[in-house]
Amino acid sequence: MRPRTRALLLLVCACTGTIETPEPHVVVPPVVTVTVPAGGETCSELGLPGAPVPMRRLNRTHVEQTVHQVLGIDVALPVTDERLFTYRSNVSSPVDSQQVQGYFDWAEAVVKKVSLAPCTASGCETWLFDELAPRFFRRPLDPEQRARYRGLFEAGTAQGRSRLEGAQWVLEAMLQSPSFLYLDEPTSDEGLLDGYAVAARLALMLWGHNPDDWLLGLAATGRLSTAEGVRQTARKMLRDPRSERGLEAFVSQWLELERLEQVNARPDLVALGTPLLTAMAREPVDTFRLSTLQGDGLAALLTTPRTAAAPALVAYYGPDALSTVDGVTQLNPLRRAGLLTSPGVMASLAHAESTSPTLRGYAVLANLMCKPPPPPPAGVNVNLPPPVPGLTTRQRLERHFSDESCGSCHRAMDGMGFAFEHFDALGKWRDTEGGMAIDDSSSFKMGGEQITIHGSIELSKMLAGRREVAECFARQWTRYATGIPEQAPVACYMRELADGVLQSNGLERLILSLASSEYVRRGAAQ
Amino acid sequence: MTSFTRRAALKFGALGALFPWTRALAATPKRKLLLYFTPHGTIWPKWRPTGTETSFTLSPILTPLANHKSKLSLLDGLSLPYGTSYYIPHTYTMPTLWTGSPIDTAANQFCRTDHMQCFGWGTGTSVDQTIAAQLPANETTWSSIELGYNCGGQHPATRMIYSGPRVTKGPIDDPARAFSTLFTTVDPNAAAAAAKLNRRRSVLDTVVADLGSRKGKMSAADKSRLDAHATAVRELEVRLAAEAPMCTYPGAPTGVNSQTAMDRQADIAAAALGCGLTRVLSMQMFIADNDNSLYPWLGVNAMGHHALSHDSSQASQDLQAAIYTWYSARFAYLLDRLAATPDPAGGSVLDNTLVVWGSELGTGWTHDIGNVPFVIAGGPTVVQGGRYKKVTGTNHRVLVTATHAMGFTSTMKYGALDNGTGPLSGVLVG
Repeated sequence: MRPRTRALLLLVCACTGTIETPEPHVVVPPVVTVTVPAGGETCSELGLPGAPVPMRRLNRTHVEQTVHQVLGIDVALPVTDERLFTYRSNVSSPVDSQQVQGYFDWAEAVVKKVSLAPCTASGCETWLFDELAPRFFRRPLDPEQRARYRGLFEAGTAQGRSRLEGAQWVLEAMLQSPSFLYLDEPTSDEGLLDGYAVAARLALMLWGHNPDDWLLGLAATGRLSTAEGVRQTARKMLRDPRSERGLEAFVSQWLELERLEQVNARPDLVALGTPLLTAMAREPVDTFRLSTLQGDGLAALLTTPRTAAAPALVAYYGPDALSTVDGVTQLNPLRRAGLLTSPGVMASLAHAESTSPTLRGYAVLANLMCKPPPPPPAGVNVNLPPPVPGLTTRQRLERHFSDESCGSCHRAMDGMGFAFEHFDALGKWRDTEGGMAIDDSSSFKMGGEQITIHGSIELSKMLAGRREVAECFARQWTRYATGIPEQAPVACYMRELADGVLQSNGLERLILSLASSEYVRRGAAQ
Repeated sequence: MTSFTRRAALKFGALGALFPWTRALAATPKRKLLLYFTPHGTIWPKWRPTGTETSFTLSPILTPLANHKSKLSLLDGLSLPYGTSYYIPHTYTMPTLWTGSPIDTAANQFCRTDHMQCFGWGTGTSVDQTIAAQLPANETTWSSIELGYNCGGQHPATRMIYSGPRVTKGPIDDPARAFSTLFTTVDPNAAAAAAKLNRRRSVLDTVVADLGSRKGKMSAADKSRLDAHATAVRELEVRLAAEAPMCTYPGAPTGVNSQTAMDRQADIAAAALGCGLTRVLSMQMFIADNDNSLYPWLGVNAMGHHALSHDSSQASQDLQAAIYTWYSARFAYLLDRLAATPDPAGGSVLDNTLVVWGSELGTGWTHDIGNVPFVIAGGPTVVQGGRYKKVTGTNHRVLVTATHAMGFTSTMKYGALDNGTGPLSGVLVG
């Protein structure tokens, strides 16, 4: 069926979900054309194209984190990113005058704040041109650019001005140079990226900032020219503490944890205090990293009762936390299972006055199944019915189901979200709501079959066994890692990536497979 | 607080500083254009005035504009065609509002899974930019100025100004940055100011030269992105070298929050026009798609505007009307500021300005674009005010009217989707 026809059909069964759900700018899952590889070959052996990534401009976090790593200071960059899809990535529009002004103001602010101590001695130029420049530009200065910056340094030190001033001129230029802001990805005759370009992709993907000297050294010595070299490097990078930044960027965008920072309408969250909110937003990230490094697959990530929670959050868990050893907490496996039941995820998908089975169900459908329901039809009353004494949240929402224009989608969203009803709007376990017993039975259609489960543990276990969840996860990581929606021609490769994701060591396997694949190592065909 | 620029003080001495307009009085007034955007249309029953074209009572939503009634032309009946076979509300009409041209549905740069549609940027040029490009070069420091508040990341639903097909100009959506960008204080030490400019020029020259150091292959689209970047840097260099505006302007904005930000931007907009920094300005409040801004001071504490706009219930209508009435008050404040700001050529800025207020929708809960509210305001030599006009046609008539107000009276059509001709009748003077 052609996409337009499908869209119209979907709109007919539109629903009222977006009282609470934003309309996400995520990407249409590619129309999957199943091509079975012949003769036992893998998809990638059939010839994998490079990801069709246009010239990428670093996003705000990349820029700020690189300055943090290289200069040791933090200055907020007043330039917004493209909201291309779930993940921030600047591949489409040109910068405009106010963004250029933003980079300019920011570069001056950084230089005003930074210590240029090496330029009080004689090694100033070496420091600027051989140490700082490659860290910002992700490759050494070529002779022409070196001459240009030397010229700028000389202009800066002319008329009796100090080396310090010359260094300020140079740094101001480097910080807003297109060589810093845009990826430059030359390719070999075979279409493979050069080592520096591979290093840049790996660093932005896994560390969330530019390559360091070690990685630039590997690029210089050709260690990143083979798939195996890239795989080994990526493995080391994943084990480096700096992978916290890259994985944080992925997990927080994938699970929309930034909702915990948008607390305008959530006085209940504000009342928890910033340290606890930070710990709640941090926990899924740290647990994801822990799972990745300890050899979990996606199935374990979605079902494990083990978590990496900060002490304040362990206390918040109360009786749900059974024991903590070396920063790893065992949770009551009858109550908590994996990422979805973490307090941060549960609390972010709620309202100040009640839980939101709609938001929770929507998040599972959109983020884990890659199948968000359509927005509500025109003209419907999307107000959540006001709390009614004697009714639970579930009973209030079930009134949606009586109206067929609402029910067709709300049965899918709320039906799934009801499984989380034992978690209150702040992500704490509850046995009752307003004195009434919680009903967390959950029934919804998935892949054409009607599924009935009881509670979030069963839901997480069910999801952890689903092929479509693995494929969606592979797509999510690929979108994040390449900065561009994956395209239909690589649907076969996405399925291949998904193959191992649910099994043991599946998370690391996915990350390393993609990083060392030709999809990442090849430049986009022009 | 009022600041005088060094140059103004030098030129006029103490007297000039007190009466900075004395020299300019003889000049011919220069027309200005200001586009104003608020999201999600209105609620027609509470917007529509009662009475006849020239004798009418303002509706509840428009009541905050009572002091300016004689300067307003209220337009009831214009549609906002999108020109594509499929329609994503908000997203597809934001790019058409001021360009009159459709969004690019062939480019798969942005996607909406819930609609199963992908799309790119708008394919037209917004009318303000077309006008700005035709005004005398270097007449003003800025060919145009874009201001706003909470305008989000770059996306077709969050950008309304296009300097060309698929090339947007984002607003400075923070009053403090708008002020520091437009009203950089002049260093009283001339030698220090010259040294600073020298440094900045050398730095920016290096930045532009670095564009030539790219090694990888680039597509035509990538090249044009870098060209646009280089152009924007060059424009910045020119602005940095420009002499400070010869005028008075307000001090840096204080007490900025979501309730006051658009008013502070209005202060800056009025000052920028009064100082002659530009003749073309736009202001954008929030975004067109899924604007879930909260308005706690109006009792909108949860769900946000967009969620409410899907709701036709009476309670929701009342809350939405409070939001739209508040928008009117912000627009009224802008007109207050324009009326209170002297024009360099005499009179007030408002006297010589065409102000156009529009939205990307007519009505929230039906996503209707068959009737989108437009309010036109301006001085007695610009706009035939005190009018409530039942009109037919499309937003293109407003766009053509804007070109005529700015002196380009040979323009009869504007934008790829324009099926009509000419400006609105009875809106402009003369």
